[in-house]
Amino acid sequence: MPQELLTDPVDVHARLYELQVSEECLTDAISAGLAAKASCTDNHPANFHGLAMWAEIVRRLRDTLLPQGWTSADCKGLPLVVRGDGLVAIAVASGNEGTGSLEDSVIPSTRHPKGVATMKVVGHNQLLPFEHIPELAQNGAPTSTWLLLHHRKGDEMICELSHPVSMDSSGYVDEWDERIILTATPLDPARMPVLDAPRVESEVVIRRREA
Amino acid sequence: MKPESFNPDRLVLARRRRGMTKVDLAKLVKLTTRSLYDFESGKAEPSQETLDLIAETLKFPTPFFQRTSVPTPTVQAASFRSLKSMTAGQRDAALAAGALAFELSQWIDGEFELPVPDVPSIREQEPDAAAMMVRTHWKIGELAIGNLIHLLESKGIRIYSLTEEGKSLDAFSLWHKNVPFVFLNTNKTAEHSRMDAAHELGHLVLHRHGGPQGRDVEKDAQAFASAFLMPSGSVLSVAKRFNAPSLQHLVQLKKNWGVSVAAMNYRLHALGLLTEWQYRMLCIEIAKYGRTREPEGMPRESSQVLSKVLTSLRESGVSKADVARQLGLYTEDVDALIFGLGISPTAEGRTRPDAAADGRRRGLRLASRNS
Repeated sequence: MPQELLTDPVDVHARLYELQVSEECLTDAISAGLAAKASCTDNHPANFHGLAMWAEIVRRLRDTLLPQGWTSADCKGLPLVVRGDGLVAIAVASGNEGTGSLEDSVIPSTRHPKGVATMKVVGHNQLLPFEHIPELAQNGAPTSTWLLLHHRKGDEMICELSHPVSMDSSGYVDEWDERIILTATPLDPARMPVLDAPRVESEVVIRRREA
Repeated sequence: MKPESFNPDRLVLARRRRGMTKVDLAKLVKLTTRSLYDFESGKAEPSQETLDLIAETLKFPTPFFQRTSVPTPTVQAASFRSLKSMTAGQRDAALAAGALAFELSQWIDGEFELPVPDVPSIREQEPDAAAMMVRTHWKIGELAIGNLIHLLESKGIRIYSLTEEGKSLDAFSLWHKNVPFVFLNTNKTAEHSRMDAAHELGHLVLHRHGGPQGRDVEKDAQAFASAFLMPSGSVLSVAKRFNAPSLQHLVQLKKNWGVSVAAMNYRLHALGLLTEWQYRMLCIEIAKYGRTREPEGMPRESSQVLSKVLTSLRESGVSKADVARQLGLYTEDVDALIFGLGISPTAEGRTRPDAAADGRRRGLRLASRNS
């Protein structure tokens, strides 16, 4: 199945509108994750930095979307945020270097192999990629699950919201039918600039009175 | 035997300085509250033995009670940041410290010529604008301020320290005989104290002629302090809008202006460089670190005037103890007012037995008419 790649801002906006999630909501969540990661120190466990980022993205997505009628769900340990009608869900994963690539030959995947929960939701995706037909909800249609992939490239965070339809036996996604490339989030410089202007230094002159 | 010229006002002052009620003191010296009331109102005078006991209990030398009255700052005249959270005892103790500072200041003025006060009075202006007007008046543009206490002292503001244990008191300020005074509680972080000093400058500039105390007045002084220490132009020249600001970013930025991470966060938000959400998340990060601790804190500021005064006196053979004796005080009460200069940790955070001598070593200039 050829992948459909959406990069034009107008197309991206229109498709996200159908999914009922704004690009700002997704990139905000990425920023929140970055902030959580940036708040980790060398004294935090080494594997916590990425975990903190992932957890904060999930939390921020839910913080924004739950007031809009979405719900939280947990599919065998895979945290999801699910649209009110139950037809669309979003999961968060870090992507490999193919994330955001516009080349047809490149098929991005998750950075780490995924387990049974992801296999299960990807399996459902193969059945019914018609999540925008409301009538399906009443018929108990399975949820269509999207992955919010993010990958650091240089001083930017590349992200895409993509629809996986197949995984290989080692747990990596090997096929997408739709990929929505989002605006990259620039990373804040690690070192903040220092003022180079001189500072006000004051000499207080006092005088001893004559005896 | 009756003591020589007992002054009831001094008893009230001493008792208040120690934060005691009449009942507290009466109990400690085994007097009736009635007798103490009579001593304080001048209806009766204590015997020498009783006065000595009172003096010992209150830790003041007996001659303190024989000195002439000194005006004690009033609650109305002083700007207290958090009047509501203070007990009457804490408030009176701080005001009594102010009275002792007036005496010390008067003594210093008799010996030295200090800078003439140059603090503009600005009313009917937004705090941000007022802060820039003061900067323009002092010709310091939008530069970051090195040592704020030195700057204020060079403009004739008298700065004294408070060492109040209760942390509910940050600072207070007032005008006394047309001279501006600022009292800073040194039981705060260096950054907190700097913000306090700028806050009090706000009161001196904006509220010189008194008026109601309350949230608006405090908010104005706080906005003034923030704008005075972190002028918008200099912040905007360094900080840009963030995507994912962290506590570490704030720690690096705050060093430019010598403020706390909390103050930096507030200012960046006020200038539109942080979104509401980013600002709140950073507040949580700061709270996790601990509100009373400051990450990568700066050295504490101290008085240049008092350091130079001590140095000069030392050179002419006058010790701090001599000054205390002339004021009828023990040196501990003088130390409490002069940032512990000469005895306690100095700006570099090391204990120095003789900060006055250290001042000499660093070549602090002291102009003298005689020289």
